[in-house]
Amino acid sequence: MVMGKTISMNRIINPSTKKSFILNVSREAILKSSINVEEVLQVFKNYCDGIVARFEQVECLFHHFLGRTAPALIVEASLESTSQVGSSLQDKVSDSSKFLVENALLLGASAILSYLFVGYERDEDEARNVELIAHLAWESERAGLPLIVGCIPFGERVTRENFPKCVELAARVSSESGADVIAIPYTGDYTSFRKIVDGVGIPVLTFDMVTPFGWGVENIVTTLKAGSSGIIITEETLQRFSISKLRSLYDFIHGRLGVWE
Amino acid sequence: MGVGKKIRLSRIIDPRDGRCVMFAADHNFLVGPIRGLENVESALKRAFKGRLDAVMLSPGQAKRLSYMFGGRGSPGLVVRGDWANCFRERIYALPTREVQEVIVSDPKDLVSLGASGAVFYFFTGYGDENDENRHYQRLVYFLKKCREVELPCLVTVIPMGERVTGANFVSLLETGVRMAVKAGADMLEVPYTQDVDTFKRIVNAARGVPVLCAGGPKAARLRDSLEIVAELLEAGASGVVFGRQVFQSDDPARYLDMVYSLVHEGKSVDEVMGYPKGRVRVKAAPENCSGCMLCELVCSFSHEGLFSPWNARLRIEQTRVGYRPVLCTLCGSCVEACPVGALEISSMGYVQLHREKCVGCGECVKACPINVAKFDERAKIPLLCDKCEGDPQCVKWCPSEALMVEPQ
Repeated sequence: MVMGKTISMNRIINPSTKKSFILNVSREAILKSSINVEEVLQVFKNYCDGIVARFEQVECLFHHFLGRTAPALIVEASLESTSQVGSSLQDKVSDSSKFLVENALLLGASAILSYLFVGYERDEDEARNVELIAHLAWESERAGLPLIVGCIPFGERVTRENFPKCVELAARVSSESGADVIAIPYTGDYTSFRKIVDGVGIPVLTFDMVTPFGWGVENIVTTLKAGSSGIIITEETLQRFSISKLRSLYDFIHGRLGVWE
Repeated sequence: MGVGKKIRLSRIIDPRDGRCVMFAADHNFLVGPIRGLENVESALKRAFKGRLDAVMLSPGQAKRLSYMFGGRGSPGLVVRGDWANCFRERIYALPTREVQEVIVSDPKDLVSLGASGAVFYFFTGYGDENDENRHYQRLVYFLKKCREVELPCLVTVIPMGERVTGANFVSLLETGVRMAVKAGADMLEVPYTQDVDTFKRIVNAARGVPVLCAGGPKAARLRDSLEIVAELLEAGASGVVFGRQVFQSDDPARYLDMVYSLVHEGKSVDEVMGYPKGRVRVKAAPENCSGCMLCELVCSFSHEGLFSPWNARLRIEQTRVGYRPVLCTLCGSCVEACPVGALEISSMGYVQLHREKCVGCGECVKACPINVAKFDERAKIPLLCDKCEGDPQCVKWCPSEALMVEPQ
């Protein structure tokens, strides 16, 4: 790992507690909802280790990332972002990922977040997604920027029964592609979550999303016991949790509060 | 071939004999977690206790585990250049519907990583010829990029898709091999064609490019997989690329040592398995016996040329808990009972029949305390276990290792 990546990783995952609490304000739903991102960040920037934002959001939100104690900026690089550049058949994805990583560096990001979806109707879409993740991994390696991959099963092919296996597959493909950190949804029990954590050999965050087994944040205790390195929370939690509860969650993840507190 | 490529290639294929034993540990990248490879790092640590020439890894694992490849004696690192979904069969959570393959590494990055080689798939037999065309284009593009940085590339040729049948498998493989060689492959990896003659065709089609054979699913018996290696070498293969055979074996290091001895030291399967010959004793392990009776068939066939359990010199008995092989214990009762001295315990440690002295009285058969000796009414001679004169065939063919051989 290049030195730059180690420093950036330490900005995302607290090196003393080895845990992380990340706020994701990049998603479309959050922009459409009643949540005012500016207000949320104003309150939470002192209670999270990183904030995920999209490229176009960074310009408006950059003041939250100023100062040594500010949370780390994590830029979301999705498949849609790649359509901004185009070239030959073979070079397309590699060029796009280079563009995304270079832009993230220019914005002063500490990491890149991308997604690997499994369960696509068309296998071609899954292949394109894997291709993007692999190229982002190489580019971010070169740039010394950690790559976080959110492993999300979705679509009709994903059922309650195969959900843990789908998460496991996405987690493995992401880690073998070169991701530095992965974020996975709750898989329903301690054992299946633990199996993923043990197998991938990189930090695993809990991705806060609604799964067939419940909501990510509700199961944070189980996932932390199973070896999770923290959580990425999204609008679901922001809408349902009070500010004080989220502060407690931050302290709990970093081991400053017990479960009952 | 440039100097850079020659040096890198020599870290994969031993320049002293032009052969290679490669351990493939990139399965998780293609199909998700697989038994025996749940933790790649510990699987490599186990394998590195044995002898091998190179290791195949996914890009992510290669980055993380590159520390394991330090030092002059360490194996060469071969990193996957593409990803394919086609190995996710029905047993997996999301089985493949349509074969897809994409480039995931730039050869330049692989060289920076310290890789000695890259590996890339080439499938033949797609339902749509345009898919094959696109795949070939990607292969040519990747090989060109490899040439630019003097990185050797191993091309894995596999007949895969709707047009592949049992009848055209070898032809498709041969065509794929020719195409990969034309595109500039430096090494080839192919599945075994299941016989020496057809595999020779594949080796000939490679026109001097080293051909390595893929292991496929874990063999039921250790001996089976080692015999395949011996056959491959006989057909002209330059070595093997084994994954599941290694990481799903009970002792990966020992298994790799055995394969290494076959590939590089020219030893026979019996030699590497430490199989004694000459004065031997056959030992039964009833707990392993599945009652398949293959030993009886092999015994009768090797002695009489018949597949007739009645003519076997051993028998399988059903017990309350399973099956039990009943074998000659060399108690000597038959020898003592023979009124004309036609039987003796030979210097090699088995009951030897002197046909010229035998009068066909059958006293020896009556004297056998475990009723394993039989009397052939047509030939008028007793059928007694002769341990196949020191090389018992029943042991070699037993699929469940219920029969073992040990020096007497």
